[in-house]
Amino acid sequence: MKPAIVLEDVVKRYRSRNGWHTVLDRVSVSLERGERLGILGKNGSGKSTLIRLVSGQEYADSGRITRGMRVSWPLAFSGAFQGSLTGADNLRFISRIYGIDHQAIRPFVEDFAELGSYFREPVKTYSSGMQARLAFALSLAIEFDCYLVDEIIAVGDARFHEKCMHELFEKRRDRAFILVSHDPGFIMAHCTRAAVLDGGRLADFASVDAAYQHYLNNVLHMAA
Amino acid sequence: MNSPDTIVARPRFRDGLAVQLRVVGALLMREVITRYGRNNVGFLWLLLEPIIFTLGVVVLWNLMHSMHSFRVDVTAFIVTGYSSLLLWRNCSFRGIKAIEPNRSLLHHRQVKIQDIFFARMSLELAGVTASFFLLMGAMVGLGLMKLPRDPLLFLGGWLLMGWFSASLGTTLGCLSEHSEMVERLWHPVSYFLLAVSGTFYMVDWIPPNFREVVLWVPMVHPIEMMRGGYWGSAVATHFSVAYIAVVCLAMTLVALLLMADRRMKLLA
Repeated sequence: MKPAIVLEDVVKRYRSRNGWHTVLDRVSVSLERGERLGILGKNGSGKSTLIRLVSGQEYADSGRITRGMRVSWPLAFSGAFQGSLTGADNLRFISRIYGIDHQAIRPFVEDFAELGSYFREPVKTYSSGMQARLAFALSLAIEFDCYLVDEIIAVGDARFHEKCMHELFEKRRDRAFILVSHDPGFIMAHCTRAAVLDGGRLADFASVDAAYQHYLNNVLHMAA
Repeated sequence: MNSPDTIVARPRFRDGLAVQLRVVGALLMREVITRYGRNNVGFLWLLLEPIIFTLGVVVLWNLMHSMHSFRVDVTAFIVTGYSSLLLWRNCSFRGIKAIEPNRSLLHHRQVKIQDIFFARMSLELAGVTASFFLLMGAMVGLGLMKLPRDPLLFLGGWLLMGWFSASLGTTLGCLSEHSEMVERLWHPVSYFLLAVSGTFYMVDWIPPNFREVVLWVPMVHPIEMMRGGYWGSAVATHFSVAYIAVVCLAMTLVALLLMADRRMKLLA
């Protein structure tokens, strides 16, 4: 069977004040169903750009990206919803664009987000913790074959963080994941494979440990 | 159960169309909710806003010209002119602000900027058009206006004005993503265009050597068409369907190219 996600020689450039800047330079990687790929990189190394390209939000300047399974939008604790709309409106919007009955997923979202009556208030009135809970509840309400997780950091209380980790990595243990982080601990805890993104180039490693060693020695330049 | 459609490596056109229709529908609902609120009175604003604007100007102009006789019936003159003005004014200003409030929705792969502009321009055209025909119907019912002598020409003018407005709004909206100057400049430019757009004059009223100059302004042509359609041969009109059609086609092409620019950085 062909790999479910394939990136071939993907190049992405952005224009800045100082001319063109190559963020991703001929990046190739593939992912099978059920695999958990971690991508390690420093801040600004292009991890989020890579995730956005895989999700289809943005397009590569050259190269190919093939998605052979249902890929989520990048899960994070913010974004992906509209601030003037209420939590309930955002739920309806997302249900409509993914072609899902909003009644079916509403109980889960209301329960998971723990917003109470705020569910019917505009999202821009939420605290950052409330926004995070809604964002995560919405992203879990729709089932995907592959989840893209962009730098999960502890927002809100530890209990909610624990709940998110359980929903993602325990209940959806059969799914594929691409996790990006600058934190090797997070990648090592959840991934079966890892790659290191540095200077626009992606180095793929057979094991998470090998990727970790490379990241430590050649990217962070710290002696192990 | 709650799984979205499988996104296959080689999507079929029919599936793509279904997704796009869902997205545009969802965006339309989203625009209506934030723009007009969720209660019924809120939704009525879509119709009432342009009507109130136009009626205000109708009353003002009727008062101004009650002393002496105007060249044509003031009410019909303002209803045709001012509704047309609202069409391109609203579309252009709504186009410039189209991306920003919807930026976060672009996190979903199926939401494209084409959908955002399509939904926004459709809502604007539908709102102004519905209110225009409602106002026109009420005026005819009250005996303050008559039915157009040449309905086809009248409608043709309105449709071309709608096409012009939507392509203008989309073009300006895309350009404003590249530079903030677009919004700043459009305020004075649109104010100037208001004066020369034909809303408050007819081409035949101005000296012949100036006519050729104002006929370069695209909005003049559809308004002349509408007035020609309303009064028929009772007024002399100057317009070229070919000119306004070429302008609309060219601007639509520009808008499509700008929207297809994949390097436009939309997600900060």
